[in-house]
Amino acid sequence: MILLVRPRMEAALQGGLRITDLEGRNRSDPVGLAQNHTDPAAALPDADVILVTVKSGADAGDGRADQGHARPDAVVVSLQNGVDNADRLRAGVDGRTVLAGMVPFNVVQSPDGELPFARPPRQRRQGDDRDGDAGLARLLAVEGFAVEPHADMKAVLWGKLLMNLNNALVALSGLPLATEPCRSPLAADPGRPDRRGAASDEGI
Amino acid sequence: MAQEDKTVVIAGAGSIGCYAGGCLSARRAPG
Repeated sequence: MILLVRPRMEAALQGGLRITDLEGRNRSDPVGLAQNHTDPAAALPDADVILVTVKSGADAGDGRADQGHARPDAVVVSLQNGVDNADRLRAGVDGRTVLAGMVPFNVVQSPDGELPFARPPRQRRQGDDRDGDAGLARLLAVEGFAVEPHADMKAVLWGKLLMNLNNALVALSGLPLATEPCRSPLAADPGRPDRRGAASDEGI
Repeated sequence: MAQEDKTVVIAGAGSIGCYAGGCLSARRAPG
């Protein structure tokens, strides 16, 4: 695995990487197991799969420029938020396989550096379900980090966007998403104790 | 694809998954 990172992140990773989650996993990656690069020309030539996680605004410049360093048969998977990033990446290259994916959780860098990255539990990444991509899903899936192919990624991406419209309320109220639904009007309905379930019923 | 002989590059590692405001709320209490 190669991490293509900004210089600031490379400095933070000099002591290695530790990843935790709320299910109690605590994995340390000794220095050297994952390679870190800040230069796409060094990071991308050996790539079989490129997971694009830069913010959407970086696509037009960094995304296309980065792909110029990769092999033509390298598969690009956009794990970016938004609903059209894979389309925009695809439009910038000729013939390269570009797939859409969605990560249903945040990777959080600890502000004190003690727990560099953490994620909420019990959620799966989802990616395009196309011919030949079952192998890709198996490649990317690891214990505690499952990948689930999905036939309609546009719907999945729109679903995440709709769920995240709640972020401002969460930030302003100080109530995490896991708590907030218990106080919502929908939760007052005994037939709908879970707002996520109610949203799902409405096709969201 | 055999997992052991493929190279995966994560471009932009460290910023995955977060819409505006999501990281802030997650730092307060994951949810």
